[in-house]
Amino acid sequence: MVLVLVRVSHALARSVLRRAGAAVAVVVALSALCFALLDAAPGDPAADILEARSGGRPPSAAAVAELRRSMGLDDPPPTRYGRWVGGVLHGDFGTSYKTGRPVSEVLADTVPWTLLLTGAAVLISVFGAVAVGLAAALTRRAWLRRGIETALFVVGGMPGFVVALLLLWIFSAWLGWLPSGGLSGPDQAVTLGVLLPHLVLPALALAFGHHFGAYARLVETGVGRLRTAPHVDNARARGLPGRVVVARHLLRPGLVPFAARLGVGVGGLVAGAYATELIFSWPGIGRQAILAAQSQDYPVLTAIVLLTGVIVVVANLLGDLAVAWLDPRVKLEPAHAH
Amino acid sequence: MRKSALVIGVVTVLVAAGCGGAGGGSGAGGESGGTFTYAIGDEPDTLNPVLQDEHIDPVTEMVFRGLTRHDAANKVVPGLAESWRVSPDRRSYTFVLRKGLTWQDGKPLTSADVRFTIEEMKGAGAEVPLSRNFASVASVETPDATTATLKLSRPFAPLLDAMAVGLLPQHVLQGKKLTDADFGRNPVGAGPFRLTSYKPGQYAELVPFDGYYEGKPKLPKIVIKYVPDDSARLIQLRTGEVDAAHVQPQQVAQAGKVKRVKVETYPTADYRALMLNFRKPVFADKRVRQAMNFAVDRDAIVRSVLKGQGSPATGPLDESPYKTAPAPFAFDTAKVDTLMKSAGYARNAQNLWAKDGKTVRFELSTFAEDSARVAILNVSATQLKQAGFDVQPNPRPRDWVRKHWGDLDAFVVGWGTPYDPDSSVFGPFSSSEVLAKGGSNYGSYSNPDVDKALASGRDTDDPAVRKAAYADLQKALAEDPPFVWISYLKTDNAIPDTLRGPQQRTLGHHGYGFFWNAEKWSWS
Repeated sequence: MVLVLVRVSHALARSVLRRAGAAVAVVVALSALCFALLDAAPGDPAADILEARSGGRPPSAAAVAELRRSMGLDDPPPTRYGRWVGGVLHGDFGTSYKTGRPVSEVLADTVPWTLLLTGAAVLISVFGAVAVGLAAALTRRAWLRRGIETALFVVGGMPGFVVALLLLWIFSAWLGWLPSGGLSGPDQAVTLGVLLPHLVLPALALAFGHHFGAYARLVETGVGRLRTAPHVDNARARGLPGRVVVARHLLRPGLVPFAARLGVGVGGLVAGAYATELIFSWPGIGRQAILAAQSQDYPVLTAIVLLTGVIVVVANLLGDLAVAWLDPRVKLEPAHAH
Repeated sequence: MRKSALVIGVVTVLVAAGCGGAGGGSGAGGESGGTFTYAIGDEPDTLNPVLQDEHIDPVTEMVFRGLTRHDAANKVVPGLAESWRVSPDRRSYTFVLRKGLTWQDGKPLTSADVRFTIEEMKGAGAEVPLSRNFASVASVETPDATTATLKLSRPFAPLLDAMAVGLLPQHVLQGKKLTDADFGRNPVGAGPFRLTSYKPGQYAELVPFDGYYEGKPKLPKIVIKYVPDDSARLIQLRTGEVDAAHVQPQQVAQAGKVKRVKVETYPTADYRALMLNFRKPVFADKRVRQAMNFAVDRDAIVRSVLKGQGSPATGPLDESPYKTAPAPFAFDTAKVDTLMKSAGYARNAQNLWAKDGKTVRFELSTFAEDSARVAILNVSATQLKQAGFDVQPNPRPRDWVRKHWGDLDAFVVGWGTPYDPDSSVFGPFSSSEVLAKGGSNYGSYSNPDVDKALASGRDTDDPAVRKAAYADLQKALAEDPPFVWISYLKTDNAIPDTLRGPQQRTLGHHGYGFFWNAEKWSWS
């Protein structure tokens, strides 16, 4: 038994390492691509800075040229990329063009809030989708199943920001149950008791506005198609209690398609966080990214794109591991490689 | 089973937290004697006043103070300086500081700080656009701690106005760049409120500064909350999460319905107009440009695009004390016909004005990213087309525009200042500032009468001479229009009806400046 476990974890470790290596390559490629795209994108950070400093008036060409020079923007892209990589290797992500703050400081201020928001949204998505999907798959009441399916269809079809604004109007403006934005009320310290209610609406908006419908449908179909499978009938015939049948024979294999989709979906969730954070004044990276994109704040934008890439890569990896755990038939690496 | 227990657990916690939050979230609103919380959409890149230009965000406005400042009529009045003397040749300005001034960190504020601020700004050059105001300052002398004398290389009438820029503390910024990020987030000024906490992306918290020269302000605390989404701002106002908020024109009616809230509408000197490019032959005849100024129905644009939150514009100084009456232009199709016919045009088969087979054809553009300007572009293009001008509306990306100012035919621009007129009329209308010379006269407008009026307005501070100069300027601009004037914008803020003190004033670019007299505000 112990031997088997060691063998399994050994294989797992090797596979994780291999994937981590691939992930590093993806991130490096992503950084180069991001740099090239920003270089090709229209916009002039120097002109933007000067415009902001002169009340929105167009700056003179001479002033723009001078600032571009002092910012090192006139160097060829490979030189700038090299300089940037050199900095990153020393843990220096550069400074924001707009505010002059170190990018690492901007990230330290914002990343934890985005992780908290997306983490909460993932939890709500997962538990909510499993609960709703199971209910739809197992119920014998056709109206309930159809009701859930219709609701999922409607919610799934709504853009994330519409869901966010709807939640805001219902629970905050109309019912007044929940605060509408920020981390805390004015003049309130950010404590857990204050933070939780502020988290509810953005997390729900992010969860329901992005993939929730698809997740629940995956659970429903994944579990539903197994309801009359021979091994389930067999388990019932052996007289196993209903909840054991559901948990062991229906849920575990039934969740495989859902788990596989979840890893990919986290990427979409991070993207969804951008709009959600803006609507709920949530001080995360999404809001930073939009501001940085609007003002061509390349150092901030590049770091955020990279970070988002890392999150997506890690989420995919975790998704694959979850599938392997749920379905023993899935090998993390082909048995006969080469 | 454990899983379902967990689900129930999570839901319970969320619901419980939600119910608990309702009380906490709405507790702060409307409490008399408490914190005043204001929601605004835009967050500045920096809280350093010399890196902002007439478009001072509320926090910077309250933290800093200049030697001079503006009163409700936008007249220059003493700020940190209690008085000043100007030499007869207007090349020497001597400012006397108030006694016992200190910075918000307790250090004394002296004439050395005045010299530091001006010299640093001058030295920063292109990085600090506001440095243009100090180009004429040759040196700053500080004979004693409360006296600073500015020696000018040439007279510069707007100098007193320019000295309203927030003074910077030498002891904090010595040896650092003006663009120092740390100072931009932890500013130290001599204004009525002191910044105690700033969370970028969230809020800024201010308390009264005990050492403020007019006495300690009455509001115990001000929180400026950054809420970028327009709808979210209105919702927070309704739920009482904020006491006050900046609102958009289309939200004024809704905001007015919120309990215990009233909407304050202030005029601004920020106008929109169609800039015409004088390098294009189609605009050569001034009668055509006059006709276009009679062809736009400004009231209709204010009603439809600005939801009533604007006023018709017929010149660059309509919101200035230098405004002359009566307005030179109004919507008048008969005048359009007369002017166009006298210029030799006749209606063609498409009902467009044409001369020698050529219509008054031009592209009207603006920044595609600015939805308010695009709306003005569309409506004014439709109106001009109905009046017989062959307008091709075409918004373009900001970045393209930046590189092609000289190629544009016509463009929806925004200009204007509530302060000294020079700063917003010299740039766009002086022939010495044309685009080819690197200036901000993007339409390459050139008119000797205008140049003369601009020069005499700039080189004197004799009020009568300046009044005459800017009257001449407005007359010359009406006779030979550089722009098709459209509208001045208004700015709206929803505030609690228990707040006393906000006083109407013509505000600047983007409608900032609502907090200009916050030191006098109080709860009733």
